[in-house]
Amino acid sequence: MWEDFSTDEVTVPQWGRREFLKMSALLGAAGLFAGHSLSARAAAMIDLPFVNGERKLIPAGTFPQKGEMILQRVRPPLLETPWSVFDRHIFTPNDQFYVRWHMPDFPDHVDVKSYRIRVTGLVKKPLEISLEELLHDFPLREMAAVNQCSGNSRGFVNPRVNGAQWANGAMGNAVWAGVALRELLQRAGVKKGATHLAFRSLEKGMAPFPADTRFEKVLDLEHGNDGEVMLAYAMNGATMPLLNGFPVRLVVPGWYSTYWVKMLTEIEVMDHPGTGFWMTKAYLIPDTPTGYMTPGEKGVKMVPINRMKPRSFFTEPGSGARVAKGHPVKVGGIAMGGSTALERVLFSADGGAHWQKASLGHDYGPYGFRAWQASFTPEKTGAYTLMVKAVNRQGEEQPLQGGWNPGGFMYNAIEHLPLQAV
Amino acid sequence: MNRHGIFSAGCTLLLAFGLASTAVAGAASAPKIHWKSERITLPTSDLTFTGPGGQVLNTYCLMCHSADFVNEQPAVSLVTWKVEVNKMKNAFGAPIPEDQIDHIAEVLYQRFGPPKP
Repeated sequence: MWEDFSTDEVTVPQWGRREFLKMSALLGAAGLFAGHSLSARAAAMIDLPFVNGERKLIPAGTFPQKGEMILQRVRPPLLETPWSVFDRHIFTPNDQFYVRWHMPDFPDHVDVKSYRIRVTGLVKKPLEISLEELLHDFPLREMAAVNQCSGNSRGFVNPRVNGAQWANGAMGNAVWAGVALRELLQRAGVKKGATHLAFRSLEKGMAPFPADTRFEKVLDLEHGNDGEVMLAYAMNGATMPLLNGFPVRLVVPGWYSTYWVKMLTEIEVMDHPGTGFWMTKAYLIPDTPTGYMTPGEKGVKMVPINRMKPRSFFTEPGSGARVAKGHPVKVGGIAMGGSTALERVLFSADGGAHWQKASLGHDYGPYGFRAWQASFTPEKTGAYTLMVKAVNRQGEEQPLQGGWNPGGFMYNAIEHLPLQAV
Repeated sequence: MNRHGIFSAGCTLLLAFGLASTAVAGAASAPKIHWKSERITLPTSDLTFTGPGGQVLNTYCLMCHSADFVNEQPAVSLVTWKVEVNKMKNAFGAPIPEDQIDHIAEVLYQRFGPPKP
């Protein structure tokens, strides 16, 4: 059934011959291929560290253009990046970048010849830009940035909240290449009185779903015009997988992924904020300094989710690892500042009583991951709890306890790593 | 127009520490894009709900999403299940009859039990 993947309409740029062979063997052996049911066959299982966290680890090729992923939902797809990927890559490979779709009828094809991006509304000259024009008629903008689902790590939120029960893998870091939105707005000429930008895509509700379920996100004009918000046509040097938003995706650096509209087709310049479901009912957080509240609290004013919080993670050693007493242990991982650059990463080997500054890896820009490293020597045998904490340029740091809101959004508690010294 | 890339992607954590400056200095040029139409075929799920109330869940949940998503949820209160089922109807537009909302919420609550402390 490999033929299903190799027609002219499908490109699978990330896979080399070796992966091809490996996947063909898998497909042949287990009879797994797109268009067929996932339920009946055996799959490796993975246990995410929360109650009811058992998931399938699906092999490369189960979903088109995707590698091995944690299966959160078949339809519409929710695929989580296995944690081992972050151990090996500061930039998340496209084929293992997490996938999140809301509606069952999202588009399964893109015709690149007829695809247009329209700039409409309060502009002097409405635009209709083809993919070739986007590629050749505007200056290239490149940026390293983390794309993170608003609900990343929801499975750790306490009390538990319904929704996708992600561990920490609903995020990814990529070098995005494309065009600054400001370039398009300049060419169209924004009229006086404009205040907001609405972003729409190929994703539209179909029967039996009402028309207003079409996916629309809205940003302030000033934000969209800041020279950083961009239309990306490539991630990590290649076109993106269809499931990640091919051919063009909005990049809103430092903001949660709900704004990073996939398959972007329309930018409407408006004189009012968004009124649709995706701005007024979904992805709302408490209007408090932290975005958190007390579970059960009544009458809390809600606002659209926005800036990301700082986060840091361990990638080595593995959880529960055994290390030798009296010998230095190298620890490390990845960190991000969130809506602003990372200032420092602090590491504790004694459950948070003392913190030391970790050294930071190369700085690819304020919105991407940075690697961090530290070392400690366990002086006695027994259990250790390691902790890591990111602090950003605004002085915002990760809390010891995760906050709560009804959507289970913006979890960023300090990570704990248990170790055993022997 | 500057079309030279400033990043070299796909670098490992080790590279991020040791050889990052080399990687950036030797940066690749802008990505070479050849536009090509795409059509994908997605896998399906034939997983269905069984046991008490399985039928009503099969009727009203599977029209929008696969059953795995429900099975993975945490135990929450009956009130929270009602909020969820109403969200599927009112926000996502699932055609669930009004008189089935409470029943579906009750079925889900019975399946998962009371929230764990």
